[in-house]
Amino acid sequence: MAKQANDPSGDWTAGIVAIFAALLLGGAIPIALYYTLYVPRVQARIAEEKRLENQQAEQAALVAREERVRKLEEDAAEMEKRLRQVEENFTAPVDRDVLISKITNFARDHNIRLPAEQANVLRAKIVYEGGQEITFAKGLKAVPIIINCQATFHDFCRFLTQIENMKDAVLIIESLDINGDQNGGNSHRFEVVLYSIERRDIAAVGTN
Amino acid sequence: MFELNLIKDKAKARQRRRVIFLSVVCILFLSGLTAIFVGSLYWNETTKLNKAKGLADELAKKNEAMNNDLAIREPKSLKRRNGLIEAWRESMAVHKDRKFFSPGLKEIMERRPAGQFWYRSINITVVRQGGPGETLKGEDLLGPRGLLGGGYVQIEGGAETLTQRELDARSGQMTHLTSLVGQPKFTLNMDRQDTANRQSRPGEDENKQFVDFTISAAMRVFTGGGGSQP
Repeated sequence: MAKQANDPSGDWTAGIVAIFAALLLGGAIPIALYYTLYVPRVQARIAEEKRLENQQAEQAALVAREERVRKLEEDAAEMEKRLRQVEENFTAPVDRDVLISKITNFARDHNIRLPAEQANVLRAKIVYEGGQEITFAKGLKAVPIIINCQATFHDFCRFLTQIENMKDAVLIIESLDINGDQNGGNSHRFEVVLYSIERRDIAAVGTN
Repeated sequence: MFELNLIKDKAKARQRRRVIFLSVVCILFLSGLTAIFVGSLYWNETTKLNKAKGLADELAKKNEAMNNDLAIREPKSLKRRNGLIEAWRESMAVHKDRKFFSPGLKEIMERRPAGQFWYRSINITVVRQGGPGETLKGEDLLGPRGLLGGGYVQIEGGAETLTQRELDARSGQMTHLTSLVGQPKFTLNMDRQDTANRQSRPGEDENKQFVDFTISAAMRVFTGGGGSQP
């Protein structure tokens, strides 16, 4: 034992083993930490940054899309304004009675004689035949007005010109029947079916 | 001597052990430092990861909200804009394509032959796109009209050809009526069945005869009612 204890080579051997063991242990700990903690965390961070990049790209696309939608909404607002201008001289549904009274006044101004029963109809405001309104393909409505009257051709032409050139209404004639009246002298019987173009509910256009 | 050597050996052994101990301590110290360095890197990555994750989550939430909002707004605004454009086109067409009757009627009144001439009846009506009997559509009001009328014209000395030529000339002058109903065509009813229509007014020259005529336009197809069918 004493020999072993006093043997310098034995001390060095144990020491080198100890140093080697310390090197192994000391090197293994940081390496193990590096591979078990740091590397997976780096991978997770890279994956998360990739996800962030994707989200940013998606957001950029969404911002562009929102810009398009905003442009669409601006276009719609502009079109609404234009449509209101174009339909300014169409008759509002609430103004039907006003239109009828205007036509009646024109008739009076041009010596158009409405048969008694027609005058009653006009006064009763049922020349607008309920349920007979016609529609255009995109929703514009036209409401019929039927006028039976007696007048000279000249007077009737002037009456018709005034009706067709009204500033605050658009009236389109569907049919016109003129028949000579043997007992009426110069006057003839006229039956006009015309349609009053009505303003549409612009707020509801393209919403349903 | 022996004792002295023994003392020297012990001192050397202690020194060796000290060297070995210090080496091991140094190695472990360096290892610890390295481990701390790795730990700090890990901590740094963790901070970056959490930051990126937080941003990505926040952005994802924002994008989802934006996407949901746009999924409603986009089709709605597109439909609204397109609907308004179509409505505007339709309303413009009403202004642009509407037919005026009064200029055509004035022409009927003014373009008359030299002799006596009057209309018995005039009918101008819409040509329905779906054909006669079909329900009237709004677009029909902007389309062409058809014309059918009739009357009497005075013919002197049986000069039907001259009268026909004169009526044709008048028809050619009716430009507004033509744009409304197409080129109007006057037809003198001189055939055998219509000779009964020839009239002369009492007290007038027997040579002056009044002949029935019809006026029609090609855009209108008349069905039934004894009308013409061009």
